[in-house]
Amino acid sequence: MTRVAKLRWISLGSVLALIAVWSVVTWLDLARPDALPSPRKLFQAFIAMIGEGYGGSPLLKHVGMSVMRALSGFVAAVVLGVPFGILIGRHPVLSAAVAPIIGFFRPIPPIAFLTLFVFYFGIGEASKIGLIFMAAFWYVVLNCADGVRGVPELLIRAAENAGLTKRQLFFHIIIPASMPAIMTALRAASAISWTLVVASELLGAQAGLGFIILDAAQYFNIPATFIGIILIGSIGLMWELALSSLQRHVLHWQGR
Amino acid sequence: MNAELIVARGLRKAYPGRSESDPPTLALEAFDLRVAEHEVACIVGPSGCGKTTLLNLIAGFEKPTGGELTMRGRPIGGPGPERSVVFQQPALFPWLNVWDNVTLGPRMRSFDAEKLRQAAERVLASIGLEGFKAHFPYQLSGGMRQRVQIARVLVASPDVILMDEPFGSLDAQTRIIMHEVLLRLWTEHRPTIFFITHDVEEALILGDHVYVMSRRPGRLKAKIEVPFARPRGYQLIADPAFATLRAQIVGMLREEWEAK
Repeated sequence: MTRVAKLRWISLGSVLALIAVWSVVTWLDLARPDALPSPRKLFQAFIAMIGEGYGGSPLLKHVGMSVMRALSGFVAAVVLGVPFGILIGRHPVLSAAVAPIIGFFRPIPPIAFLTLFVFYFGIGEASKIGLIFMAAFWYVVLNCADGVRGVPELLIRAAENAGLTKRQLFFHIIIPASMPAIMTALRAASAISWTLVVASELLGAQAGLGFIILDAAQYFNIPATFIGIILIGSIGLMWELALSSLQRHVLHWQGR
Repeated sequence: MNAELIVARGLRKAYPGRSESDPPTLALEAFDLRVAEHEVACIVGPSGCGKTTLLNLIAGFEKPTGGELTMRGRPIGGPGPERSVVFQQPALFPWLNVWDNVTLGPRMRSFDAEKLRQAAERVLASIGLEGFKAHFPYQLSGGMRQRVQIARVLVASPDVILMDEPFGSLDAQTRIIMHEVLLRLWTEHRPTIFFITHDVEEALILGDHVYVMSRRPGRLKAKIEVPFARPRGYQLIADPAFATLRAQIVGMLREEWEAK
């Protein structure tokens, strides 16, 4: 067995061990059953929820709504943030102009803007997607700018020496050399977008995984709350695995 | 004697200090140099004497503060493919394979595709890389990466090849092999080579002339003609004349760092 395969089995084993510990704890009645449902009970509730839906909507609609919101905010942040970040990275004057603004907004938790966004954009999709966009946008911009600034001077000199024009240097050297940083920006931004979905659904959502968690907790429906949390975790994990495997394949040269 | 290719007259390069009150650092001053066409010019000097500054000026990466620096009588402007550099560290593009690394520059300058393919095939074969066209830089050893850099420069067919301690980070055996590769390539293509090194032995094996620089600010201390006939091999180091010349140049360098 290769080392990588062995490590994968260890990762899988630790997940199974966690579920085993959880089963034993609930089986021995070490926790209040209404506070911590057993894995078996959760699974049954999950199957039931697939059949019946939650709060009048099918489960798939809840998942779809959350994914749609996160993806809309994320895609908008990438489409606008990547070119803007690259521009800032290349132009010190522009960078100096926006640095204080970014520096001010970045440490503010995006949640702080939630009520303001609802006030500006209403209780519908715009305020939720807008919040996700704003949080992800700064990450994309800053990471892309850093990536562009971090292109080794040696590679730029080698390209100039080979006779590349300014335009060729930008598209054939600066962009590919910044790809690892851009990819890191996308991963961080997608994680932030997904994290913020729950927060954005705290106000006025009628569907979504965040809505399930909030709504279920209000009625002490603990299994449904757990299902919402586990779904958010699993979808986030799958997305991260997909992105990192994409990165390993496309940027196979990274860090070597 | 061949025509003069690169000429420096009273060349001066100063770097500004950290603050306005800090005095500028003089890297080169009153530096004179004449390199002829097809010559292998080896530059040796104590560390920090401005060797790399000199190469950066010829390559066009930096601008002189004063004096004159010309190629074929015309002042050197910015960087250009007619003055190709082999960098000290392998400056390969990690996302391109060997073939694309070697052909990138000419492709961007819209060379005839078929001629470029033939030239690249020929150069890669002569430098022992024909089996590695699809390899990426991270899959190659240090010596192979430097070969790719040399291949890239040869495909660009420049007027002068500028080499900045290209074998400095290689182990002793690989170095000897690289010297032989370079000597053979020189016989085939006869390019003008401007070669910076801190290794006197390397300078004497490769060079037609050894240019000895003074400590900073760098001036030309001596231009020494290397009398050994080509083709040369590593056996040259056993020649008593080689040892004498080597001792003479090492003595000059010693004077420089003892004078500090």
